[in-house]
Amino acid sequence: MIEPGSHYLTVRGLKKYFPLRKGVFRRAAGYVKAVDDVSFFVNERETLGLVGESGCGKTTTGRTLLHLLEPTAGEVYFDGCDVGRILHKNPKELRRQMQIIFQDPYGSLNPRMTVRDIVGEAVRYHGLSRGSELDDYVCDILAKCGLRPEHRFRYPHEFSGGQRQRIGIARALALKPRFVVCDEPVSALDVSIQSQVLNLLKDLQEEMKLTYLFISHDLSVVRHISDRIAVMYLGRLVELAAKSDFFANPLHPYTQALLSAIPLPDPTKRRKRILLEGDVPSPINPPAGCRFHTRCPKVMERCRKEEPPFVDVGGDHFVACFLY
Amino acid sequence: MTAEKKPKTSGASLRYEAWLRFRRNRLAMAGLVMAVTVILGAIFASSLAPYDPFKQLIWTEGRAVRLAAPSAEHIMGTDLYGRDILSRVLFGARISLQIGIFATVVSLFIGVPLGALAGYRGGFTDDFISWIINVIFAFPFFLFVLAVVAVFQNPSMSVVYVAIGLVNWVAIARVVRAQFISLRDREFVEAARALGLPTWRIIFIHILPNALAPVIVQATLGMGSIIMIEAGLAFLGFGAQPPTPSWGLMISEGQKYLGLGKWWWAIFPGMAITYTVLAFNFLGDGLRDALDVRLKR
Repeated sequence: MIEPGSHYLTVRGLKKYFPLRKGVFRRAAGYVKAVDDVSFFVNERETLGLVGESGCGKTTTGRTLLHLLEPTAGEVYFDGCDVGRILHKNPKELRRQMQIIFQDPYGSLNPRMTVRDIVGEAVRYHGLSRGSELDDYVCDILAKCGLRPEHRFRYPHEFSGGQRQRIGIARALALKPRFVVCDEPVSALDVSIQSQVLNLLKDLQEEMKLTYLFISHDLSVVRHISDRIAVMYLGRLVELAAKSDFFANPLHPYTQALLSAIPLPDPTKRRKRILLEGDVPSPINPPAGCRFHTRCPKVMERCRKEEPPFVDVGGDHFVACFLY
Repeated sequence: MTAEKKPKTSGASLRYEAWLRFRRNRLAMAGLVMAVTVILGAIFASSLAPYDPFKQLIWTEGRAVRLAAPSAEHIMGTDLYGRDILSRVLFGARISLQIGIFATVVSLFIGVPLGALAGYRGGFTDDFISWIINVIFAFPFFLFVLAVVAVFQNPSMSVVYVAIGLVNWVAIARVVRAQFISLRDREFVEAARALGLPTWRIIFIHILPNALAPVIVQATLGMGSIIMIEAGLAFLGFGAQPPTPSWGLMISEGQKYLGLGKWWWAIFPGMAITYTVLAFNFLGDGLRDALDVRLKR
């Protein structure tokens, strides 16, 4: 379905299992299947939004894709290269090209370093600038991210959440990457700050020709920034489609339920809400067959036994459901 | 890469806050003052001491001064050989601090890298280093040092502090390891990894500065116990050798005279040990409270 190297970024059969160790000998007593056989692709200079509820494996997907976590299985191809193989041989250049922006603006900046060092350290290490030019380089990228040059002498705790997130963005983009995983970059921010940061990310994407994998649990945020949207449920992708198609014609019952939860701007109108029953099952013992069958309003006998494949139902609209 | 030349508004303010917490703590301040007096005493021993600590003052102004009781001329009295005990106690501070500092440096040099490696790498590396740490912990500390020192025919001071360092590093390593385990999964460390920075930079520039506070506390508390160990070794004849003015050695020499009413020979160095060990323990506890933000208020 998805050939390696056919797109700018290709993820094929990505899996990440975390062993649950028990007893004196710490034998693996089971696995948390955080990411279980995920395949997708991202085109050059587009934004792929990845949505799903807490604990569905969005963040793990992002980290595993960058090999910050060692994948249990699967491959990632970036611009025709096998990311895993390159990172084992000569990680430096690829690390520069693939960056990540973190969710927590407080935990993601080293509290003992000045902004200048936070942003400039890797710039110098990668040889993008050095000596007296480094300072100008840092000021330049800070300015692009909406920070003032004098901010570079300060420490992270002197900044607000939104400013800290800008520092995190500056740190990632200072390396002039080509692909950036944005791991819920705005979920920790006030709504008023969210749009500023989102617009900054959009502007920088335009200016620096970036490709984003944008992870979020907030559909309205994803709608604002994405070109295509993927939905994840319990370690698997259930649907992936272009934005307009995704909102106009959601196919998977889970996607339909999610979309019905978005409030309408007109308070007199009511959308027919699809309420899901029960909780998300544990990723340690995911349900057999389709993972969503325990909560699916359209469940069929087949869903309990067989696992629906993630297939293209036309026009690059992928869905994992037996209804289609 | 460090911001040494930059105006350290906030790094300074963090430290300033810690200092304010420290200053409010009376025991900590007492420890600081006590430790400073010991250090000053050691540094200026040669100008503070009223007599040469090695000189046997058998006759002064026509009077015998062997085992003289404390008096105006000899505030702490003299020992069997007519040496001024106050002078020897002051010079003894040099020996104790020297051992304390050098043994701590040795402990840090072994304990910090091994603890960091164990905590950062985890897995087999951690199992192996933790195993060594536990074995050394399970071994009687004092006996181990004694055994190492005893191997050498004529133990010099460097043998003593290396021997103490070879045991004491486990306490440092444990603290460092625990810090690294909690810090290695923090997002700023993950960010450093994502930036492609080499592992040694991540360990020493990103994690270690954030792990230092408990290490400083442990090293300070360790100073007290090292000084005790040194005194114990000297007492048993395995540490400093006569005529070195070591506190432990002085107690060892003076103890025979305790029962004869000549208490000053052993008691004053004993008090010096107590004073110094207390100073570092108060200081260490105070630093722990001041540096640990979680205990604030």
